[in-house]
Amino acid sequence: VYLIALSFMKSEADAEDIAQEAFLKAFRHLSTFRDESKFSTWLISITLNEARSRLRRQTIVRMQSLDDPPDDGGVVSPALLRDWREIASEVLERQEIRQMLQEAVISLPTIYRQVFQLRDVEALSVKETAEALGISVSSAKVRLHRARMMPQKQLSPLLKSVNPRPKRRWLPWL
Amino acid sequence: MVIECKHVWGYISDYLDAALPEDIRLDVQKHLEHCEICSAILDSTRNIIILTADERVFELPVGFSERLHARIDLELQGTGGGYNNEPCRTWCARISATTRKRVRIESTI
Repeated sequence: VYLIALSFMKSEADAEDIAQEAFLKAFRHLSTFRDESKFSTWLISITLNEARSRLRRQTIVRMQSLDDPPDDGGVVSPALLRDWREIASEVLERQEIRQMLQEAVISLPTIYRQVFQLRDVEALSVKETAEALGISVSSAKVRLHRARMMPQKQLSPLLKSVNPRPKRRWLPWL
Repeated sequence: MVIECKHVWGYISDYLDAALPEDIRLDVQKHLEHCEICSAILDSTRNIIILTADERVFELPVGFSERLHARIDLELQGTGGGYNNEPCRTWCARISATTRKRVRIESTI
């Protein structure tokens, strides 16, 4: 809930406030919950509504919608890589690596950040993501694709420096 | 059918989600078998998804749970009890259990 709020607000304090409000609203309206959807989907939709209404109050929506690229706004090319080596999850023990990944996600344009956060961080299905955001499944797929390609240009060189290639040894018999 | 790199890039996300039609998936797979660049892009995309999905990346702020419990407790005092008279801790534990069910993106490939 907090992370979904963070994907809208960017500010941690605002995200925490929205998360608290969402839990309280869920608590107050628990009797209206129907088993037609998963409880988590219901809770997420409350969070999204709360975040949207907060943004409206802060009159940020208009500015952000101008900044956000439209869904059909051109092709996003991935970083051209030739020798990507897998980064083991042990590197996440390092604060600077976690920070690097957070910044890459947070710096995505809002419409892409929301989809990425719901699908890839919160592990919702594409359909659930689309429903939560009130967009079509095909829009969710387009946004997801771009959201997944965008951080690579920023992250690839940084992560490769975390995981450098072993120095090549001179093997005269090869 | 032979497809070019730029087409493969457009399919990478759906390929990782195993959401491509079978004929396209086979074309993409065939391309990936001999194209180093596209294979590297696929690997890096998958790797970055796995890393960002790790719960160590986006952690709750310190004291988040305590502040949330305190706020709900305050609400309970105002309403004279929780939903169905559930104590706050029980209710929150139920919510936590539901919301923590994260499914890791384990590539199907």
